[in-house]
Amino acid sequence: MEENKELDNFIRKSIKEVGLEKPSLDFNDLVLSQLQKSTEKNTIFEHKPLLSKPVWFGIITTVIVIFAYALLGNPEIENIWFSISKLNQLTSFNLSGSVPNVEIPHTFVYGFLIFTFFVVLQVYMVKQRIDKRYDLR
Amino acid sequence: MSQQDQHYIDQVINGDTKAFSVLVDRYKHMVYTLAIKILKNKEEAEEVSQDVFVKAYRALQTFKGDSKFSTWLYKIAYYRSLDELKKQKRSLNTSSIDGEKEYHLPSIESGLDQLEINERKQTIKNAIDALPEDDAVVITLHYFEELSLKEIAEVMNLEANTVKVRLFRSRKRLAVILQDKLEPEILGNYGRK
Repeated sequence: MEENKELDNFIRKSIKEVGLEKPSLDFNDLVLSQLQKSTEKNTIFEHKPLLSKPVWFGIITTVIVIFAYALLGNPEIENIWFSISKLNQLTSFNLSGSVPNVEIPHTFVYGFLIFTFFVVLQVYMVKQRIDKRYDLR
Repeated sequence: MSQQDQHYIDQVINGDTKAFSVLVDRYKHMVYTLAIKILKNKEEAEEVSQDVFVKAYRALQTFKGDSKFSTWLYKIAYYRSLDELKKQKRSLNTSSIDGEKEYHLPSIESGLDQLEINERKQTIKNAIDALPEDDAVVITLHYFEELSLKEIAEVMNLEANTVKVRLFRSRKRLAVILQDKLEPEILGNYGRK
């Protein structure tokens, strides 16, 4: 027991004599710059809704008021600019008759498909590249 | 100390990043020392220590003050260093030193006294570095930081009794290593007598 106590005192004295390891002189600056970087990153990528809550509230209220007025208020609106007879014309409209018959060559179709494929591929690759550039981790 | 820490913690939480610098200043040496004891590499320890403070800053809101801020921070440092070891596919060294080997404390003390101050410090430092990582951590936390067994247990996620046993063994191991390192001085000393 006595031996333990002696060893305890000896080790305590020795450890205190050696002291702690010292990190680099600019340690604080490096930590603070990393913190700044991480807070900047947070502000850059902070999600901001396109429409804020008050705007949403306003839109919803307006829509409800309009519908309520239309359904319950029983407004008498005389529709002078859009009569039923004009609506009937729409149903009898023949699209195929009014578009000229155009033959699309096969080479054009293949070319167009390949072109579309490469455009989509390029969009994907450019996105990857940009993501990598702005990835601050 | 803890109350002073809380003052700066509150300031940081209220958005004063510079107040964090005071906490970094206060604990960087201990965090860096713990990282070095585990990683045994200065550059890696420096990087890990910086990361520890960044992590602590981000998690500061979750620090509830149940334990001391230092204990909370050392726990982050301990686990971050272990993560780094794992990342490098290294693992903690278990003791290769014979814990049962006998030592003679007066000889070690007189051996150390023969040395110049710097040489003595270097010998003790080398002996601590030769300890298995966990032993070096326990020794540093207990003897330098004067943490209680309960606090060390919290940092290392162990039972207080396990820490007590480990501390007992680490102490003995350190004495044996020191004796081995001082062998020429001790023998010289006997020779003169």
